[in-house]
Amino acid sequence: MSINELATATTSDDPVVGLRAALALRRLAERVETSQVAVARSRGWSWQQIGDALGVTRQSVHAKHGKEP
Amino acid sequence: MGRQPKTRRREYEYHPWSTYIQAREEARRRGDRTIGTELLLVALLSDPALASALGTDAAQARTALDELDSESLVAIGMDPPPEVPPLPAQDLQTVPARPTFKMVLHKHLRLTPCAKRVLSESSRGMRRGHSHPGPQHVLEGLLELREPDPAAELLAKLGVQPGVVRERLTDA
Repeated sequence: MSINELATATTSDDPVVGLRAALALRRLAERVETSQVAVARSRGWSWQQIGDALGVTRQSVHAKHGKEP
Repeated sequence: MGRQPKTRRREYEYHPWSTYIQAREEARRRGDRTIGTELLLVALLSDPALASALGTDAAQARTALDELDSESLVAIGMDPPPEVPPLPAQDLQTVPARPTFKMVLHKHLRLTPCAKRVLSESSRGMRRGHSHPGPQHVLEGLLELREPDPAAELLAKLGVQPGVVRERLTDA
């Protein structure tokens, strides 16, 4: 599917469905991020490396995905 | 004998925070960064009395939410929709009816404005003491919502008619 097809499919649709799709994509992205951070940690990545890969600080990635006591 | 104990402030059995905590766990598993009204509804369905009033259960509601997501992704051209399973459940000890502050603040997620309004209006009723407080007051707030609110869409998807449920709740 090309980007143009996606754009027409997106714009021609009911906004109720289209907006929900936007949220559904965000949820998918969040799931992928969380599970991949867990994989990276299990392979011994530091929070600094994960933060660099995600383009955020190590503090923010640790606050979001780190285990709390 | 000794003095009569002072009349104690009535200890309510339920606080909406318990619904908030359950909804937050649903949100975390789904990958939501905010807690919407539809997740308050899923959280309330863990109460068997409310589940029977609605004629459905939490598992059905979760499936319906996944289907709504998949349908919307197909509609924008992602066919078949990507399969990303929900995140693993954390062993959430049974949420007490009145959770502590610590439990509420731990791994805090924001409520959407509408979800916040539904929860705060249910507890306002509690403070005034107008009625016996309970999770059914949160549910009543959710039943008043209209589409495109996500809780209203979930109810429609589950084939639940808000008017019928409201009658069942007032009869009970």
